[in-house]
Amino acid sequence: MVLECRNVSKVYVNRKLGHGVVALNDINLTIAKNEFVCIIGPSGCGKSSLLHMIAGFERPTRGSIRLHNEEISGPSPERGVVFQESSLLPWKSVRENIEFGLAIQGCPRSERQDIAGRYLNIVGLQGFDHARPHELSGGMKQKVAIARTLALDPAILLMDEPFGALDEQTRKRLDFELLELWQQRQKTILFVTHSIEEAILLADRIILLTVRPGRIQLDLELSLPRPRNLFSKEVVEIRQQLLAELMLCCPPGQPV
Amino acid sequence: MIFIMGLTPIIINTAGGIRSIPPIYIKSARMMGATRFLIFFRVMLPAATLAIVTGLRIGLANSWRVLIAAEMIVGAGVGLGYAIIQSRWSLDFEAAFVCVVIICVIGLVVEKLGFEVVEKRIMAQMGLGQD
Repeated sequence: MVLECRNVSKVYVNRKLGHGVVALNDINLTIAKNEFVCIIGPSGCGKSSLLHMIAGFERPTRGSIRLHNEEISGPSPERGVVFQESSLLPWKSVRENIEFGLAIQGCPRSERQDIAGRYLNIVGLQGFDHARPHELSGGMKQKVAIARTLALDPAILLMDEPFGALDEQTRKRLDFELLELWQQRQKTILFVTHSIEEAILLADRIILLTVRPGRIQLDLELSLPRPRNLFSKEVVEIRQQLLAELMLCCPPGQPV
Repeated sequence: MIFIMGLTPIIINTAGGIRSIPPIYIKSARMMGATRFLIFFRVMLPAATLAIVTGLRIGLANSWRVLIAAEMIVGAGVGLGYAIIQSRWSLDFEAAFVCVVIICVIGLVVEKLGFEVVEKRIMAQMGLGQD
């Protein structure tokens, strides 16, 4: 077991309303080593909050989050995050961006260059070493962000809708490449998305959150072989099941 | 006086530049394990370079103006501002205008050859200002 969330709740205080808004309520979740877990749910269900708390940017109001049995107290490179928007530093080249995290860790220059070169190859961006982020497409930027985070060799990779801002085709391709990468390199991944299809394509386990307060409505193990065909009988059944559950959790007429 | 007139825009612009840095840069640096010190020097300052240069530009223009005015009022004995006042006393209008033109040219050269070049280079590096 890599990660454990126990009775995690998050309340945001809203001054205008004069009371707290419960974003997450009593989340219990364990993630095993090398597991690929997707969290899905409608916007405002607290899936990003959960990820931010695991990353250490925010503290849970109640409950505890543990990585390798150690309480999380703040951000750390062992919990690498890939953000939705581009977080690359615009004044650094692709290679410098990947090396930046390693430099912060105090990794010597020659080793840094080796590692950066290796991860550039892994994400298929060899030859783009000296390009600046603004010269890359949205998909390439996210690949650099993934390479940068992987270079830190995190115990768990937290991905917050990493392909959410990309077009459908690029997104499918990157999903596929991420899957390959995960299969080859054995990583533990927690992936937040709002796309049922993306979750089914990728995950070992899908966790569906309800909307305000966010609770785990469904924890679904997927044992289908990969690569998965979105139109096979089993997958269509799961899609229908998830869609029905999604409808249950936010009935029409409720503010979203 | 010159100091204050020059420093204020530099400080205001630097502070504004740092405040407008996308929080995601700082978040990702924290995720990579950067300390506050590293975040300031390796992320915040470089991200605010353009704003700092703009501050320097306004600061220098202000200082330049105050310098000329100060020479006129205090009567330093040397300098372009003093030279204008002196030519006024001696009714030498040509010399006064020559001084004015020299002042303009110096300002223009610093602007065009100094700051514009630096700003353009920073903008090209960050991928700003091109469509």
